[in-house]
Amino acid sequence: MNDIKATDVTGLLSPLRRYARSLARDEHVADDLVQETLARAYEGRSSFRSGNLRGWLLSILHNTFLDGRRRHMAEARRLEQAAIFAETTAPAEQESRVRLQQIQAAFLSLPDEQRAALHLVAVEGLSYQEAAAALRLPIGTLMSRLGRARAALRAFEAGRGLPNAPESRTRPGLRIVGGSDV
Amino acid sequence: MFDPITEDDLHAYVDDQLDATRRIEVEEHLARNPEAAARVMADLKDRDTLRLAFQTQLSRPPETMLEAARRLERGLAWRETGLRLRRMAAVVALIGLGWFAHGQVGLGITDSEASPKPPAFVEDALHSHETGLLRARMVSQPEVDAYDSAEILAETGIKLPALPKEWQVRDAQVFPSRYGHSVELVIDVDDLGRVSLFAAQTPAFDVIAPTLARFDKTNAVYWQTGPLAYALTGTGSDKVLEQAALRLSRQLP
Repeated sequence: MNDIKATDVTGLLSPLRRYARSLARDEHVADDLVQETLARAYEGRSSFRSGNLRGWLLSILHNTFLDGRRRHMAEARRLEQAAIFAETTAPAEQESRVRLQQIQAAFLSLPDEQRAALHLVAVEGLSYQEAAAALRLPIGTLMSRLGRARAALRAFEAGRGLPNAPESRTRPGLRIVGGSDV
Repeated sequence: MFDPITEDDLHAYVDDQLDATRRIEVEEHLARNPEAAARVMADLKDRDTLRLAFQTQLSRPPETMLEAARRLERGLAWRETGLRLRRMAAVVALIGLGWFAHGQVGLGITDSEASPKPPAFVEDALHSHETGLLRARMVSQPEVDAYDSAEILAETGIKLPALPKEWQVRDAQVFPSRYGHSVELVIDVDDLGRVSLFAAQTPAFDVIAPTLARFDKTNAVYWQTGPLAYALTGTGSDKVLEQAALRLSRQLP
């Protein structure tokens, strides 16, 4: 048994912080969210089934976020922060840097549930099963959120405008696959 | 001709969640559909861009966060040790129970209230039951409803009981298990709903009469004959599940 890896929480701080930033869209709120997640995980450690520590922690983080208080705090500073957030990244090339910021801003403007799905799958590389389990969704729902998130990003690039949620929801030509959405 | 390429296949292609064969089929489809190919390339670009964007911006975690992480690590490590000790105690108890049950075979189900923590293979059975249900939900995981018990016996050494005629096998899978192979059948039964029959090799020769173990939402009736362990898992009535397990166990030598 590889006990060292099985409980390596420190090694998972980066994925947790990244996911928290995606959800909260504010660095400070995000780190508070991770802090609270760790506290909740400690209190609920008896519910951990050995195996997928990452999925378990991501799921707790998600629920902590959904509890709402942080969401409202983050929402208040959302647009302002999205801009500052994007500026703090510093890839080498000027042009690709602009594009990176634009896509990131478009990503941060997606509705929460689409952002969560796309982050876990695309950024963290979770399997669909793991992501669905962490979000407590049926796979079909996860897939349809993923589909809408990607369609919105594509639409943003086609139109070079920030996609807003209601529009991206009803975009023609997007086939929603599997499962009912919640 | 292969299965038509679905929207889910295109996502799974972008997310690298297809096996090699399906990947090639998707690529063949994309080679003929410039519009879909352009879409997939755009999605790949967005994925890579987001990964890059998220890679570059993490500072060192604050000290309070590191301390909370270490505290959780210690808490989980203690818990693991505790579980292992409990499991060892259960094995010791089972050896005793096995001898007792050996003399009681045929009398019926062991009293569930008096039974100890179920052996480790029951946990494996629960996991594969969940996996079976998941596979049934997943479009991209086709079920295999035809199974050949003679071939399973020849290849894995696991003997499956003959199933009642009215039971409908929905899926049959061979999984790796702690001590060799295990087999999982997903079966629809009229008065039980969807159940799983799990069979696995165990390291210790033992005889355990069918015993009920209750979990949150699921019940499992497990038994062992010699080196093979079995568990029938489902959410239906525990009495019906016990009777069904008893019936299956009598099919086995």
